[in-house]
Amino acid sequence: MNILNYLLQNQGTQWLDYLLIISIVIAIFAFMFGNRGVRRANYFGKPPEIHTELICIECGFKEIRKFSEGDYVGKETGEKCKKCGGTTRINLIYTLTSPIEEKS
Amino acid sequence: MVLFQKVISGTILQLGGDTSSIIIQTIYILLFFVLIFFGQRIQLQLTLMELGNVIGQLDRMRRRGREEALNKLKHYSKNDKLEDIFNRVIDSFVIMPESMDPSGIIRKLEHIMDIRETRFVNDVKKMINNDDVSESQVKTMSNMVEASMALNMLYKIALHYYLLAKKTNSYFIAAQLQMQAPLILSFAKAYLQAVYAFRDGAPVGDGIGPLVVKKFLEGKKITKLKENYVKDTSLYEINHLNRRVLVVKAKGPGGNVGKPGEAIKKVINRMKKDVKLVVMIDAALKLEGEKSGSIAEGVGAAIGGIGVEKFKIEEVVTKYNVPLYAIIIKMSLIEAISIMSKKIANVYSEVIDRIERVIKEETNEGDTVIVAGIGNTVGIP
Repeated sequence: MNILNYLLQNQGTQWLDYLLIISIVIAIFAFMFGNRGVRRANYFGKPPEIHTELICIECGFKEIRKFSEGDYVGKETGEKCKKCGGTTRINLIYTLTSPIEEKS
Repeated sequence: MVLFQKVISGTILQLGGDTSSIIIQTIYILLFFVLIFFGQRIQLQLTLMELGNVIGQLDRMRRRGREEALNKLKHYSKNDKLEDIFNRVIDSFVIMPESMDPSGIIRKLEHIMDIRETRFVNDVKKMINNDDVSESQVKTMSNMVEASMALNMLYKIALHYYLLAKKTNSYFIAAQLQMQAPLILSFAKAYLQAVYAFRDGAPVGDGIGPLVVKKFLEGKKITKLKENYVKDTSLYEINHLNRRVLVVKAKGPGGNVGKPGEAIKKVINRMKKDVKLVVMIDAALKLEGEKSGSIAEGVGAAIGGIGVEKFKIEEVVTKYNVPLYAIIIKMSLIEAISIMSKKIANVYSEVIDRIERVIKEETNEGDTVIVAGIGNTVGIP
């Protein structure tokens, strides 16, 4: 605030003109480089988290766990149903979120 | 605010103002001439700067795809020269047959693509050089290498036009690339996601066709099963809704699209007019604004690729006058080649209901129907 008071008292208001011009130029450049269709962004996308949905062949109880290599739809993995202890098989394999969120 | 006052009062345009006005006037006049004579050059430089950013991103994505693919191959490989073969394969190409005389081009195209696929899979086998790795894993890994190859190709083509624009100082070449840059980047994003999907061996969005027929078969008694009925394609026979239903799908769970067209052709040529209906289920690209996972019905051969399989189906159903129905599940390109989302996976029961409705509506009891699930079978046996 001291600097501002000093400038206003000793330099008049002309410096505000230059400040205004510089601000406009910076704003124009920021607009040109920041909003030109293709933005600098992280396009790698995270490898999505994959889920394996198991279904009990006997009672139909569904359970979701993390995908492990070698899983495929219909595979009987030997895991027991948590509800009835029956045999389970892989019902579906999917991700819960889209790998890259799109605007549409 | 002196400048504002001057602008408002119009004094800024008058000669002989104070020093700041003269400086600003001079800048304006100079800018005017600079923009007249060098406007396009400035625009070219700005465009090239932006394209440089795009090329940088494509390069990073290409390197990431390559790294992921190589790491996966190294995990199984017993070959010291893995990287040499990988570099050779990644730069390989296919020369399409001459189309000036289109007669017989489908046969030539199929031949060329068959050679390419065999060579590609053999190269991946050489890279791995490990007998413990199953055929289906090799197929999935070859799909992963193909996705990495596509990333490499996108980068090379974009770089070519970027350097050409720079070399010739042509704004128009740069502008063409600039206009396509968002699309090129979205393709690259999709292919990078495909590398991740095939690396993990999980079903991709395009696999919804095989998933639907797999679920359609579940719980039903398979009366006949012919694995490798034609190359990489299986044929199942069931009795359902008092009809004989022949189900065609590529053989999984490795990444594979099989030859469903060849299988349908073989079945119809064998059974002739006994086949009363063909229903095809496939993933299709949605238009912007359409919902992912929405289902649509139509007629015709629902199958992508270079057209060989589509041609075979159309030819044989026309020859024997068999109605051809299609049920498609809509999704974006990125969803089609990245790991299947829950939204898409869950539509299978609705598609099965539609298949059953079409069969009931279009055929009578005792008829024979073909149901074909089209798409990549990675993660779907």
